[in-house]
Amino acid sequence: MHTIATIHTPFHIDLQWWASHGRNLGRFLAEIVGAEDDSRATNTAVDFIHPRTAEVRQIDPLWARVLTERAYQPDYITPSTPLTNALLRALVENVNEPMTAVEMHRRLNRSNPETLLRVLKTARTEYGIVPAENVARQ
Amino acid sequence: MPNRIDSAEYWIEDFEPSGDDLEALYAHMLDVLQPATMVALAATVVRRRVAAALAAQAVNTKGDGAVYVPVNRFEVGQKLVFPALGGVNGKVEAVRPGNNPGQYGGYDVIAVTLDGRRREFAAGIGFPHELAQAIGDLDADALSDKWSRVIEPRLRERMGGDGEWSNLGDRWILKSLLPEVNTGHRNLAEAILMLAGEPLPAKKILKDLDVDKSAAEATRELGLDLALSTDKRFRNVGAIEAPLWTLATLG
Repeated sequence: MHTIATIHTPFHIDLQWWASHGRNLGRFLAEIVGAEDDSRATNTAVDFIHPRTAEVRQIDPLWARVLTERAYQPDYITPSTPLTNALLRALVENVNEPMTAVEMHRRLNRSNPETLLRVLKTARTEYGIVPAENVARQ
Repeated sequence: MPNRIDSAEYWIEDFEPSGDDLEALYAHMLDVLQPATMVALAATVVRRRVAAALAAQAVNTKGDGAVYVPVNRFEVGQKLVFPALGGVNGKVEAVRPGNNPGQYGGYDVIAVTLDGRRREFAAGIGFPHELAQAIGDLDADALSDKWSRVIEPRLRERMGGDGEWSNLGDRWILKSLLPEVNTGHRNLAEAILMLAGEPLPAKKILKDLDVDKSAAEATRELGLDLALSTDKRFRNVGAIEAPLWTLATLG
């Protein structure tokens, strides 16, 4: 069933899409931290402590490295970061908690929510970003 | 999630002067009875908000348990309040050792169910964290030093449109506190300036005027400055913050 996405529809990264399309999110994460490759990474999830709330999430070690070494910094997403790449980086930074186009706009400080929504709708084919249809927003 | 009162987001993005802020400024002015600069008024607003946050927390946490601060350690069964999550509360259901010591050093992870969802939080951390400072440790003076100038433009905009306030440059006061400066006072001021033959500040003119002496000197000066600034017979040849008055007819 398809819902009509609006600027208030939350989107997230469909991790199964990456697996089913033979894509490797780890390689994308490795590029962000400047690692040669992600082959040495273990699959054992590690704690990530959120810098603002101290909430702990258990995530992929490479993902944790992105969050602790690169995310939340001014140069993590810059005006020259391609827009779809920036959207994926924002979701990675948000530990894949779904974000709406409005929230994306607030994070990226670029374009406008309507344009970002159009980009989000097309980001499935490139990065597996899809509406989080079953996610209840608080 | 509301931003913490000691965060940049709170003052830069969220702050809008509220009715309570203006009420606090009225009370402040009635207390000091003399003009204040906008940055001093902004500092009063910052201090009021800090006091309100501390008072609200004292009420919110009464009986609901300890405030969650990640530098502290907690035990199973202990009740906690999470100010950074809007004040929700829950009970510690489990404690496990942290599994990422390479990144964070030694720490615990506590499990708490909040709003029906089981979540985990760090405890006993030994590294700097935004929440490591409990809200109870807020320093109102340090926060006012840091943020008064940031909120000053928004406060000025709001007060500029409030008919209760009057200002000349950066001297602000409640209109109700200004002493009366009537036509007789202004006529006498005209004569004083004519005889002086040179520009004078309000302070010197006031020596020969019978303007309400129960008002603070700075308030009387501002009252006279405001009155002369709206009378076409007078011209300010000094700065707006330190006027020097002369007669318009004296070139």
